Formats: sequence, structure tokens, C-alpha cells
Amino acid sequence: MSEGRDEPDIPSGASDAQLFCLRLLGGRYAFEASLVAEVVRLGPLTRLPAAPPFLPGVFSHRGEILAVLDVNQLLGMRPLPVGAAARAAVVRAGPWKVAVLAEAIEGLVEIDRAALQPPPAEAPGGAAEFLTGVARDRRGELAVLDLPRLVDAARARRIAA
Amino acid sequence: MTGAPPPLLIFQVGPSRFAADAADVERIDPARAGPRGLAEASCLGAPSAARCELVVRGAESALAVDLVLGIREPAPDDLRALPELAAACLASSAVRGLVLLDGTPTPVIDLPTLVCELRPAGSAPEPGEPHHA
Amino acid sequence: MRESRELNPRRRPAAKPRRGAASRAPDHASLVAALQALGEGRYADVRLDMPERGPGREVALALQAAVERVQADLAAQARYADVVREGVSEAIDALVKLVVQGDLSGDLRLSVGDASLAPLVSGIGQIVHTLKRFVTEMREAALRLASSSEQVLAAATHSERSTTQQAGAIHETTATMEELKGASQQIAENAQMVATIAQRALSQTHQGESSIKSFMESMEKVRHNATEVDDAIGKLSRRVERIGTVVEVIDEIADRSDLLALNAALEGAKAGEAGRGFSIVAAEMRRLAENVMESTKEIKNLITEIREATHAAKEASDGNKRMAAEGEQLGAAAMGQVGGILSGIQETSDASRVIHLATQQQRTATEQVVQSMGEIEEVTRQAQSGSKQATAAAAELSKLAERLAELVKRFKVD
Repeated sequence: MSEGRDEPDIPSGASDAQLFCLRLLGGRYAFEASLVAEVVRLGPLTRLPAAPPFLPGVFSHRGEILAVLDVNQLLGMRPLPVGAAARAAVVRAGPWKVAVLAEAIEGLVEIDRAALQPPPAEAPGGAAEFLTGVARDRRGELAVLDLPRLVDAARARRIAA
Repeated sequence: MTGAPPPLLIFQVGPSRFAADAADVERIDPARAGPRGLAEASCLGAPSAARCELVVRGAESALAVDLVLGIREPAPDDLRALPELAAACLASSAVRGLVLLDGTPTPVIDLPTLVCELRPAGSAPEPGEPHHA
Repeated sequence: MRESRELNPRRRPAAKPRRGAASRAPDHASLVAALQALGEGRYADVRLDMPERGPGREVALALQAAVERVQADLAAQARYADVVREGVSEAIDALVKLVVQGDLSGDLRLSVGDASLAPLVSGIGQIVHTLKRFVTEMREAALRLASSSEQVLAAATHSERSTTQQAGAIHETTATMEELKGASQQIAENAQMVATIAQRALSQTHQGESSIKSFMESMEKVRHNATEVDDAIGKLSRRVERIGTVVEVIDEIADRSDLLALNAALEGAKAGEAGRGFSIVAAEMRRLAENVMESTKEIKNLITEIREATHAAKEASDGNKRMAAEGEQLGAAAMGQVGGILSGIQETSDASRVIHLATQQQRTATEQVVQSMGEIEEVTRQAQSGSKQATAAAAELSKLAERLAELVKRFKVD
């Protein structure tokens, strides 16, 4: 299932960015919607021995076993809940297919690219280095994440640790 | 892996269940009253009751476990590789893959590697290449 | 009082010779008459003619001398008699004084005018002396009598006292016995009362028994009721659970719908223009799903509240059941106790009957004793009265002795 798309498809308005927004790190974060394969409910998680904290476990979804990524823990923040109602966005970030855990999933948002602001210098958990910009829509502020870099960094952190 | 997958010994350490190649288990001993072969808990976690020991073939030590649940012969489809990111991030190379037991993904442990890792002289294991079972 | 008229020699002069009778010799007849008169003591009639001479004169003179002598003797005797009379008077006076005034002191002072009175005086003296002695003796005797009577009185009083004491003691004993009789009567009555009370207690305990029974029945009812309540609560719980299940299903469906909508929107986005309508439908579905989930959230809250209330009701019912069970236990214990009381009362009743009988017997015995004591008391009373009489008599005697002593004291002896 490698449908890596580098450019998001823009069904309406070339200046609009299709982002997929979810709630984590205590705020609204979004990334390229094309990265998202599916939104899922977490099944029962199987913990893996010797796994880093940001990998709370794996679960089975439609016969496929997916690893769960907790961005909060990756950036040293309070762990996201992994209860039965927890939701995750199954994303393809580079070579990795991972279920990104979220507090809540907003879904698709359209942001005018021109309206994208540069990311702030500081962000909670040190996420600033992974932000490509911030924007605002009718629901409030949101930050745009470079998810592939984030996941790469996860792996790198693992090595560093 | 080609051919029928080997029978797996299913055991439990604490709340977690694991599977291992039954061929790697020399025998199952009752727990020793005295000092155990394993000085510390493995990456599988610490057993709560440590009722038995899995004597690993070719190794000097045994793995203390809480329960031995039996031997299963999984269907080939039930054997899965670790998700790539997981395989890339695990600190132990003893986790070789997963087996779906009644739909639940269960880590498949390479026991010899595991007990090897626990030797005091054993260095921190390199994250191994993702294995595809 | 020196009047004694028997002899008045002084009045009649001695016979004087008569004139005229010259020397005639007294005649024989007148002589005889004179002598007769003399002999008869008619001294006044002794008249003699006094011759002047002759032998008759000598006779007449002799006679005259004799008459004069007699008259003188008589006078002397009269005078002597007067003295004696006076002495005797004095003596009598003295005696009278003695008797009347009781003055026995001193000696009798009598002027002994005549030696012949001496025996009289000494005789009187002796009388006085004797009288003195007698009075002294009497006084002593009276004193002794008084003291004896005092002693008697004392003795009698003592006796009276002791008999009084004895009477008192006996009275006390009798009183005690009376009390005992009374007490045993009381005991008997009490035993009777106990029996009566026991009877009453018995009937009350029976009543108590029945009220305990009814209490237990009501506890049973409570428990039964609690079971009914339990059943009702159970039903309620099951219904709530069912609703909960339904709600959860709805929730699940809504959630899945939401997911579906999300994924549909994704697909729609990927499909580009062709997927636009799809995206809109997906968005609508999402909104619907969200609404449903809002409602289910409300219902879930409500269900939680109901669950809590049910739990509370169940707890209360359980509490009731526990209480009823406890009540039943208590009731059973009380029944046991009542049973104990009943048998105890029965025993008491029997015991009290026994007591009653025993006290009856005792009462008879006591009565007998009391009777005997009464008799003793009677005797004692008599003795007491007798000793009282004795005392009274002694007192009387004592008084008399005193009076006598008083009387005797009037006679001065020293």
C-alpha cells in the first residue's frame, strides 16, 4: 500500500492546502491529508518488549498489524490515552506506515496556503523543529506538522537513546 | 519462512503473553527455590510468581516465567513481521516477529538471543534488521 | 386553885366558952355532943361550954386544945395537901406540856415542895425518861422503817424496773415476734404476690412472646418486601443495562459512522472533483454522527445517574434486608430469652408457691411463738402490775413512815 504522494491533490482552489487535522500535543495539529490512509479506532494494543515509550504497542486492523506512534511521548509530553475509544490516523510517512495516536480527530481542513504563517520559534514539547507553519481557521489556530520528519526523528531518537 | 511454521510454546510473563520456538525450549522446570539463573528480569518483564522456568536449549540459563499456556501450531498466515518502525525501534533483537493467536498479535521471542542478551557481559543489542517471518 | 372547901378551920373560930354558963361543969351531954361532932368531923359543931373552974374546965380546955390541935393539924394537912396539889398540878402541867408540845428535852423541873412528893416526881421523871426512850426508839424505828420502806420502794422500783425491763424485753421479743409474724405474713403475702406477679409476668411474657412473634413476622415481611424491592431493583437494573447496551450500540454505530464519514471525506478528497459530492455527503454524515453521539452522551449520563440511584436503592434494600435479618436474629434471640423468662417465671411461680407454703408453715410456727410470747408477756405484765402494786404499796408505806417520822420528830429528845 505505498501510495506515496508528495503533492497534495487540490480539488478546489490551487491555493488551498488539504490538511488533516487532529488534536495532540495539547493543540490542533495538521499534516498533509494525502499522508492519511485511514482513520481507525484503536483495538487492544499488544505491548512490544524493549519498545520505546512513544511506541505503546501494535494492534491488528483489518488483518494488518500496525504500530502506534504517540507523538506526545515522542516529544516528552504527557502520554495520550490509549483506551478503547482512542483514535488514530493511519499515515504513510516515508517508508513507515504508522498509526498516529490522537486525542481527537477533526478531519479534513482546508487552509489557504498564502495564509500559512511561519512556525513559531518555540512550541510545546520542542515540536517547533517539526512545524512547517501555523494557520488559523474558524476553529482556531492550528500548526502544520512535517510528519515524515517527525517519524524519522522518532527512529533517530531511538538510536540516540 | 517457507513451509509449515514450527510449533510455538506460548507462555506468560506477568500480564503479557509471548510465543517462542518450541524447539528452543529444552524443558520446562519448576521454579527453583534458590537463586535463579537470570539475575534480572528480561525485556519481557518481571514475572510475578515465577512458577516455572524455561530451560533454553544450548544456554546455561533459564527463563523464569509465570505460566506456560501450551503449544500452538499457527497457520502460516498468522505469522507476521514486526511493523517496520517497531522493528527499527526495539532495543532487543530477541523479538523476531508476531503471531496472531485468536486474532491477538503476540510477540515471537527468540529465546537463545534473549538469554544471551541477559548475560552481564552482554552489550546493548543492536536493533536488528527487520525480520520477516 | 387552892380551893378546897372541905375544911375551913379558919372560918370557925374555936369553940368559945359560953357566958352564962357559970362554973358549971360541962355537961355530960354537951361533951358527948362535942366529941361526936368532932368524931364526925363536924368541927363547927364542936361547942363547948367552958366552965370557969372546976374539973370540967380541964376537960374543956383539954378538949379545946385537942380540937385546936386537930384543927391545926387539919389546917396543916390542908396546907400540905395544897402543896401537894400544887406540885401535882405542876407535874401534870409539865406532863401535859410534854404531851402537847412533845418537849421531852431537859429534865422535868419540878419544885419538890414536900419530900413526900419526891416519889411522885421521880415517878414522873421515870415516866418521862421512859417516854423519851420510847420516843427515841420509835423515832429510830420510824427512820429504820422509812429507810426500809425506801429500800422496799427501791427494791420494788427496781423490781418494777426490772420487771418493766423484762416486760419491755419480752414486749420487744413479742414485738419482734409480731414483726416476724408480720414479716412472715408479708413473705407469705409477698410469696403470694410473687406468685401473682409471676402469673402476671407469665401472661405478659406470653404477650411479649406474641409481640416478638409479630415483630419477627414484620421483619419477615420487611425481608420479603426487601426481596421484592430487590427484584424490582433487579428488573430496573436489567432494563437500565439493556438501555445502556442499546445506547452503546447506538454510540458504536455513531462512532463508526463518524469514522466512515472521515474516511469517506479522505477518499473524496483523493478523488478530486469527482469526489466532491461524496465529500459533502460524508460531511453531512459526520454531522449526523456527531449529533447522535451528543444524544447518546446525554443518555449515557442519564444511565449513569440511574445506575447510581439503583445502586443506592439496592444498598438501601440490602440495608433493609440486613436490618431485617438482624431483626430476625434479635427476634429469635428475644424469643430465646422470652423462653428463658417463661421457664424462669415458671420456676419462680413454682418457687413462689413453695415459698408460699413454707411461709405458711412458718407463719403457723411464728403464730405459735407469738402466742407463747403473748402468754409470757401476760405473765410479765401481771408481774409488772404486781410489782407496780408492790411499788405502790412500798410507796405508801414509805409515805406513812415519813409521816410517822415527822410525827416522832416533834418529840424533842435532845
